Order: sequence, then structure tokens, then C-alpha cells
Amino acid sequence: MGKKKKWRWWFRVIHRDVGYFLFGMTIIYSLSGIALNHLNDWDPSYAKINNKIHLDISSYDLSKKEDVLKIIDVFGEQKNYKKHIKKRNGAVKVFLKKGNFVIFPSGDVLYEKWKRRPVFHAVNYLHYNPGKWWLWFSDFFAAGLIIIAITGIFIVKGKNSITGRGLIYTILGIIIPILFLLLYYD
Amino acid sequence: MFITLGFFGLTAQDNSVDKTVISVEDFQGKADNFVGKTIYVSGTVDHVCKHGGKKVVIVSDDGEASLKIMAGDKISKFDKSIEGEVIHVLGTVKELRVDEAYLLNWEEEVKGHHKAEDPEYKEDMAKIADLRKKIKESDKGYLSFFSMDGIEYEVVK
Repeated sequence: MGKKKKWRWWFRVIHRDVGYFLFGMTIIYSLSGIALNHLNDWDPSYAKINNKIHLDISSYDLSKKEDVLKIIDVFGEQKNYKKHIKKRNGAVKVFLKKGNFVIFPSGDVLYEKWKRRPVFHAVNYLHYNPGKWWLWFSDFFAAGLIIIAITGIFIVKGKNSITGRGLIYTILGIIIPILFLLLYYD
Repeated sequence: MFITLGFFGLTAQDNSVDKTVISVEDFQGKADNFVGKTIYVSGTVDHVCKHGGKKVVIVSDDGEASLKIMAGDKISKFDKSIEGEVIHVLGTVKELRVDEAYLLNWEEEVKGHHKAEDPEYKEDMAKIADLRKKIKESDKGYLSFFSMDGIEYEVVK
């Protein structure tokens, strides 16, 4: 085994094994990255149902807790009651375990229910570095990606290597972000 | 309402921080005195921003007082499940002063980014006109908007 062959062999081993180890993290950060890219279009952590209905609440007094509870019991939500607060516009906001009501004096009721999205809530939680240990692990992951990227471009020999076809793709991949910077970066 | 912290487990690193918890309604009346200071505030979580959970609004139960809290480096995010809960937050109070110069600058930005017929242009210009009116009515000649850079928080059960 020659000297040149040796370093390529090590690069291949490192690329392969680090890649295996970081597979899970790559999926987590990719999924949450896509989810968080589209925050303007959806809430990636919670699925929501919003409704607006009108009730005759003329016989109820919104300043009394028992009346507020009676109103939300129309929806079978009394068991999920947390607390309620007044709003500046005379409305009352009722917080539920997984939702809320906004009851207006006119009888209009806005009703929101939500539930955690099973996968996205978890991956987004991790994406936001929930603790010190995760912070270190995610730094390690980021460093691992750099290692995978660098070793990856040197493991192939021949016409598809970094001196052939690989060079074209690598340059293209670098040019795209540079173009964005030139066009949009102040 | 003032409460002294001691058993909630919040751990302010700076021993000079006053551990008295100020309710959001008390804060609102004296906000000028707290600018730049690191204090504890309590209130009911009215809303958690869906854009990453980096912002939360706490309110008083009568709906008259509110305070926007931004998640600092030590708060990864606020989860929606804390809506309706009472929280104690340690954070540094900030003030945004909106005066005539601020509004003129904002107007220039709106004119630079939107055409007069755009809905965003009309919406922003209406907001600017409303703020200008409020400034004229104010004694100080500017409007103050207070917020807090949150350092840590705890849900009070």
C-alpha cells in the first residue's frame, strides 16, 4: 500500500463511519431545517384547527367564572379549562390544555385547538438546542459535517474525482451561494 | 403585587439582581424605572410566537397590562403549551422610543420598498399616522414601548 493510497483509504473510512454515526442527526436537522424554512406558511410544531361560531350568550355574564365555564361546556371543554383573562376589547380569552377560546360580548366565539405534530415537534425541539449537552453534541455534528464534506471530495479517483467531474459540481455548489451573496447581500 | 423569589429554583447568576418578582401590572406603571435593569416579572402567557417560539407576551388577568419578552441565549424557545400559564421571567428591560425622527425614517423605508398603491404601503402609512397622532398627544414628545430580553423563566404551578 503506497503512501498516497493510505491517506485516501483513511478518508474513505472516516467518511463512511462518521457518515453512519451522523445519519440520525442529519435527518433531524434536515427535517427541522425544511420545517423552519417555511414558518410563514405553517406552524411546524403544532397542527391547529380554527373555528368561528356565534352563540347567544345574552343570559351569561362574562365577568363570572361559572358563566365562562358554562359557555365552554357547550363544546365539552370544561374539563380542559386552565384559566381565563379579560381582553382590552371586552372579550374573554379562555385557555385550555390544548387550545383556547376568545369569547366576544357580541357572542362571536373564536375557537382554536391544537396538537403536537408527532415528528416535527420533536425535531424542532432538538433544533433549538434544548440543553447544554445537546449544544455540544450539535457542535460535534456540525464539525462532523465539515469532515464528511472534506473527506468526501477526495475519496474518488479517476475522471469523476475532484480534479475531473467532481471539480465542476463542487464549483457549481460554491457559485450558487456566492451568486446569492452578490445579488442580495448588502 | 410583589413576591420574593426563593423557592422557585430560578438561579440568577448575578447576585446583585433583585429577586423580587414584579407583576406585569405593577411593571407597566413603573416601566421607566426599570429600563436597562435585570428584574423578575410575572404574568399569564397570552401568546407564544409561532415563528420559532422566540417571543412571548405576558398579560395581567384584567387584560390591561402586557409585556413582550424575547428569548435570550439561554432560552432555546418558548413552547406553545405554556399559553395560559403564569410564568416568572428573569430578564433585562429594554425601551424603544418612537419619536418624529423614527417615524420619518420608517416613512422613507416604506416609500423605498413599496408603491403608493400597495396594501402594505397604505397599512404602514396608517400606522405611522396613528403613532404621529399619539406622539402629539403625549407629554414627552415620544412614545415608549417596553420589552424584555429573557434570561430564564419558570412556569409557576
